[in-house]
Amino acid sequence: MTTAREVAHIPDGVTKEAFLAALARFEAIVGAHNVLTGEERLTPYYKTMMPADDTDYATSAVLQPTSTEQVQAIVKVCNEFGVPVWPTSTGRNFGYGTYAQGTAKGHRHQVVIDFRHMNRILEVDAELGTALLEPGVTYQQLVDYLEANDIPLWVSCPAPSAIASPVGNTLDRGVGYTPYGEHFMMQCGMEVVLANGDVLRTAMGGVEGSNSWQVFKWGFGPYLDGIFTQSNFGIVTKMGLWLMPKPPAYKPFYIRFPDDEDITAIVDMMRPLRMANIIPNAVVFAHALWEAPAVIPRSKYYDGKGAMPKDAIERMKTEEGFGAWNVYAALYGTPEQVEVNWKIVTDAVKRLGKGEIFTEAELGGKEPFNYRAALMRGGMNLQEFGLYRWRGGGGSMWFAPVTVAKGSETLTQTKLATEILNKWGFDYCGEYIVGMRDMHHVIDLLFDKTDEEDTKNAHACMSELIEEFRKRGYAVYRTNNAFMDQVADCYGPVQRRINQTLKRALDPNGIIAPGKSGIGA
Amino acid sequence: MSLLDKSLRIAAVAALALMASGLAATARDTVTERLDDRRMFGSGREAFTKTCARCHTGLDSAVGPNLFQKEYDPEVLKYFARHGFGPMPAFTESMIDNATLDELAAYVARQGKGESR
Ligand SMILES: Cc1cc2nc3c(=O)[nH]c(=O)nc-3n(C[C@H](O)[C@H](O)[C@H](O)COP(=O)(O)OP(=O)(O)OC[C@H]3O[C@@H](n4cnc5c(N)ncnc54)[C@H](O)[C@@H]3O)c2cc1C
Ligand code: HEC
Repeated sequence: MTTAREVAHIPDGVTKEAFLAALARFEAIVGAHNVLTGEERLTPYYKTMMPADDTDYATSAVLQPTSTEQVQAIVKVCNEFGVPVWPTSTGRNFGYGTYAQGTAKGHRHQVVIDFRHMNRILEVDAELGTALLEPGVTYQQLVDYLEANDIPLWVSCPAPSAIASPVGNTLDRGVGYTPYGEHFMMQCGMEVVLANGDVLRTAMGGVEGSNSWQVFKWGFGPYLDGIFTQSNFGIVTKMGLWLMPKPPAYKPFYIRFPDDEDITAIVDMMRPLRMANIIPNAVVFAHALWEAPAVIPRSKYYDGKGAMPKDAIERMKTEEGFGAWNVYAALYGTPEQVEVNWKIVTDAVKRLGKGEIFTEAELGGKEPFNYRAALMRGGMNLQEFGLYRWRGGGGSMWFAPVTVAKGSETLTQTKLATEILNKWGFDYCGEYIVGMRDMHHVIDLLFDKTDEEDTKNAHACMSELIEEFRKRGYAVYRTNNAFMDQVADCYGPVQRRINQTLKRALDPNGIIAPGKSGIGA
Repeated sequence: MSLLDKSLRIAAVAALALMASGLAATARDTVTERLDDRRMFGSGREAFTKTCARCHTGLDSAVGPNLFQKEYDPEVLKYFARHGFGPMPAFTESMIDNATLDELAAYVARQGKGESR
């Protein structure tokens, strides 16, 4: 049996006949309407922000399963016909590839599994603050559910909140801005369809009749959940996560620092407060060139070629009231706890002798404070997409090296990144997101994808950033499809080999997302 | 109450009924039905509010231009939604299905013409 469909792309290494035969089998599994081919239905899946030809990352077809059993049947067909599939939850991985699949090297045109239609909220335990979700559930859907049922729990979301998914974000080890901001740390229990069609429930999920799948992460024996994140070892069809009890009091605040060098003192002042959970959330130190894009276009202060000159940045800071560094943090708890902690925070700032502190009283309703305050309580918001308007042209890559939470580190990293970015004509649009003891130094490499030269430079710049940082012992925590091999190399040959060994054992035919994170077929 | 809210309420009521009958007295039975194509959003207007309007806020600080200040042909709006545009992401059918997008586009087009609904 085959199908009469027209297909624009065929997965590398698969014949047209085999592909059409596989599509017919997919149609029988998910229904013809849930097998997407053809320009019109696939167009929204093609747009990436990477400095690459989108055709190299274009999917050959999209499947929209609605059950775990359908996914099991899909992998059987994939094995039979050698067809690779790239699972996505909601596919909003902007700046990390969006719906792109493969790494353009022999693994092009994989079939995308779009889980958006598999979108049941399977459980919310209001007492324990746990949820069990299918991958297609968006943050918006979860928030709507909690609100409709008066459940006083908060989600922790990344900046694309409303349109992204807890499962997809957590599987790429993304971050949010609440005290639960390190999302994978708050994940508990998974259901995974393996390449051989087995359905694995991790940890307590393996115990028949257990009711602790969403409360105890480790189970017995090797802890497996981690190997299914940023990987291609399985397809996740359910995920448990923890939700934060809504605190009686919430106090977001902003501290403005005038000088670039202040970052050192900021980090050292905030670290003890964060480690002692006085400030419990994923705090952000945003540079002026991250603060500005959220609210104004670059052209307001500079319309020329190359990186924005220092004097234009200074003029913008003065006129718009941006700090060189802009700190966003929040306090959570009972009103009494918040009051005590507020004194500790304001005393610390006073002792530093630098930094002006603002709260909702002065900045409520004003951007960017407004959107930061929303994100720090898991509120739906898309204001940060202003970054993409900064230069225009729709090109973006996150360069996000891991940093230790020490002031001494930040000057080196910020200076190095700025030098390399400026050399290629790009701005340092960066911020530090504070973890427990680390920081994600997140830089948005923004470029004009409609301009060939800019696009070429962006590619070269990203490559140089990765390499120069590697030479100094730094590496990124996540990357887009075009740079997965280079980043995997930073982590050394032994890690590459063990990943490949696991891949061969779990997916001998290499049908799940070959190339992902530098792990081939 | 939107359709979405309604289906969630029904699920919650069903869960309560289960608890009352002592079948499974935990909050774990709050299973929602699958929001299939049509009910991912209760209406085109709700889809607009929960996606487009988060960037096209109509405020000075908005990420995207005010869509209520121009007269758009609904087809143009649909084209932008499916293709994206520079900073604006493209929206798949699985995010906003065709029927909802038709409603959404008609809703935005009416606003541009200064009609109240
Ligand atoms: C302005 C802006 C700000 C951003 N801010 C943040 C931020 O604060 N924090 C942050 O983390 N990110 C941020 N991002 C990046 C990104 O948009 C989010 O991380 C987003 O949540 C990822 O998209 P998604 O949730 O749809 O996941 P998906 O795209 O669905 O998934 C991501 C990847 O995980 C894997 N995957 C997904 N589902 C499965 C599955 N079921 N089985 C196996 N593997 C799977 C796939 O490889 C997929 O490519 C930002 C982007 C923009 C544009
Ligand atoms: C993440 C932010 C974001 C979301 C969500 C978004 N847009 Fe946009 N949109 C933009 C930006 C930014 C522009 C301007 C792009 C430019 O000029 O480079 C834009 C431009 C447009 C334009 C062209 C306006 C003009 O006259 O030039 C239309 C039409 C449009 N969007 C419709 C929509 C619709 C419909 C939706 C919802 C389905 C939507 N947008 C969702 C950010 C967004």
